Formats: sequence, C-alpha cells, structure tokens
Amino acid sequence: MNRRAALHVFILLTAISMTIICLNGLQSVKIIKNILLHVFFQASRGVEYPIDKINSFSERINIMLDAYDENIKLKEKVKVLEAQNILMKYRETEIQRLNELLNFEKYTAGKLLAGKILLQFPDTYFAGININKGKKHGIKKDLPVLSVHDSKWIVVGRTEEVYDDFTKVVLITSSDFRCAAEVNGKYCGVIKGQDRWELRMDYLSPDAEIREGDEITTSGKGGIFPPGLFIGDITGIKTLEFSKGKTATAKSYRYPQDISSVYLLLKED
Amino acid sequence: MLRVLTVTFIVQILLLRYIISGETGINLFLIVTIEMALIKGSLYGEVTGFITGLIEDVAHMGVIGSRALIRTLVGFLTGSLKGKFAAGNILFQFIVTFIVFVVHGIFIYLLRLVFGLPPSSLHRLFMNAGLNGLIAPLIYSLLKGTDAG
Repeated sequence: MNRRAALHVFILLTAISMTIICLNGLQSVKIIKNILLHVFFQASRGVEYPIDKINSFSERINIMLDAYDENIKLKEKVKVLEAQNILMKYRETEIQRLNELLNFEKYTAGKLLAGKILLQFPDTYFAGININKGKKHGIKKDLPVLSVHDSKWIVVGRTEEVYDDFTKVVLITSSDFRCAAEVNGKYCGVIKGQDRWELRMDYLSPDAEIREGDEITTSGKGGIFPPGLFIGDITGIKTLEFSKGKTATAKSYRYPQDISSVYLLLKED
Repeated sequence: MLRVLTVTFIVQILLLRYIISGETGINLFLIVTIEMALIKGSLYGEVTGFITGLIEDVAHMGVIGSRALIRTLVGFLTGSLKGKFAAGNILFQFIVTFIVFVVHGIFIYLLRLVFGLPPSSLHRLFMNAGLNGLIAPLIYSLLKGTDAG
C-alpha cells in the first residue's frame, strides 16, 4: 500500500516538476520565480541578520583590541616624550643656573670657582666636607662656599683649612659655623650650626616681627659672606625672658649633605 | 518533516557558508533527502526531495523544477533501499550518499547540457560526493534522534 502511495506521489511530483519545467519560458512563471527569489533572499537575510550582527560585533571587538594595542604603544611613546621633557627641563634649569652664575659674578665683582665634594665621613657629617680645590686654585681661609638651588644662591659653609689640592669646609650645620644674617631683610641676628639638621638664629631684637616660614638671608655684616645669600626658613620662634630678645630655629633651603658640587666665591686682592 | 526542513534551511544558509566556500560544499538538502528516504521510505524521501529541490531551484536562479524533478527521483529511488540494508551502518551511509551525489551530479550535468547552460565541473563532483558522504552518518544520527526517526 505504502509503495503504491509512494509511486503515485512520485508520479504526481514528477508531473508537477515537468510542468513547471515546461512553463519556465512563460512570463508569468518568471514573475512568480522572481517573487519566490525575493522571498527566499528576504528569508535568507532574516536568518543571516543575527550572524551579521555577531560578525559586526566581533569586528568592533577587534577594532577595540587594535585600539588597545595602539594605546599601549602611544603610552610608551608618551613615556619617552615625558622623559625627553624632563631632560629638556633639566637643561633649561641648568641654563638658568649658569645665567645666574654669570649675573652673580657681576654682582659680587668676585670670581666663582666650582668645586667637587670629596668623600664625606659619618663622624663629620654635620661638621665639614672636603672639596677638590686648594691653594693651587687660589683658595684661602674663610671664603664663602655656596650652592645653587631653585635659582637661589644658598650658603653651604666657609673654607677652614686650605691645603695644596683640597680644602676643608666648615658646613652651615656645624657648631663651629657662625654667620651674620637677617630675616625678611630687616631683623639682624647670627645663624649658628648645632651639629644637627636644625639651625639656630640668635640675637634677634625683642621687637623683631618674625613668623614661621620667613626667609633668612646673609646680611653681609660678618665680612665673609656677601649680603642676600639664602640660608633657610624659620621653623620656630622663642621670645627670651627679661627682654633679651628672640631666638629662632630654622631649616636650610638645601642641606650641604644633599649636594655634590659647590661654588667658592674668591675675593679679589 | 516541516521542522526538519526549516532547520535544514537555516543551517544550510547560516553555517555551511562559513565552513566551505566555492564550488566545494556540503549540500545539506540532498543529504537530508537521502536520510529521510532511508529512514522513512520513498514517500517521505520524494516529498522532501521535491521541496528541497524547489528551494534550490529558486535559490540557484536556474530552470525551476529541474532540481525538484531530480530530487524527487533521488528520494523515490533511495527510499526503495529502506529495510534492505542496515541503514545505520556508517559505511553504508557513506556509500549510498556518495553514489547518490555522483548520480545527482551527473543528472544535473546532463540537465544543464539539455537547457544549454554551461556544464558544472565533474572533477569536483567526486570531491563533493566524498565530503558529503562523510557528513551523512551524522545527519542520519540526528534525524534518527528527532521526530523524523
């Protein structure tokens, strides 16, 4: 029965197929074919739509990944540029420092000599340093030893013992160091080292209107240091009893222990 | 059967174009026709073949009805093998699919000659037949596991 039904259906379908084949040339069949083709492609597009969306999404992900890689490369370039920028700034600062050096030379009418700090020893850490310039280079006792920081000339110490090739310098932090100074260019006193980081300023008048953070500079009265060299900032003030005046504690702008080279201000004979 | 045809249609459109491109490809419609015929007999085979053939006729923009005619014949003849051999045997699946694909390809070749269309390459025919023969057991198992079985 089944075989017979299959045979009947086969004959029917074959007949339909043959008829369709024969009718292929008709205009109406061509129109129907075009309509079916249109429907077929619309259906295909409908089925492909989610896949296309997924493809488009994956393409975007790829683009994002490329952008991520590019971003990493750009970050590396930025780092290189930042390093170059730092170098440029350093050079700019160096140029500024050298310009100030020239100006300072004019200002003091003296001669500057650069020196390098030799070995420092723990037992004389606050007291002194040795520099690689001596009598041969025109160094004498009690010459100002300076450094430059933030475009400011800063007191490092003074020469003490001068040898042929090197000189011992008494540092500003040494208890042997004394220097005439003033606060805000008005109130005079004497800066002393204390064999520790903190400096001390004595002999300030009772009327001195000073406060923490005020600048201390050399006054030029001691005969060793010219006026206007920076020493440090006031960190504490103490008023003495019986109108004996005021004392102040200070910190240096830049401690000599943190530098590697100094400048010696030679005096003209 | 409608569900099987719908799934076949979607899978044919969606997946197979990503697997193989060019003239070499998997013809899921023909494999399904063969497997339906082997599982359920000539009646289902020829109806499946007629419908899938008609869809392909529309898709290929050739002579409408030509593939439907050949597929109907393929479905009917393959269905006559039902019950005569161990249909679940992988080797049998491969051999039947291979032969049907070759015969189907030759029919198409001849039909194209009759209608004055450029003939398709017979070199790729055997490659296609082998490839589809390898897929056939998998499709058979899937169809067996569904309502079609």
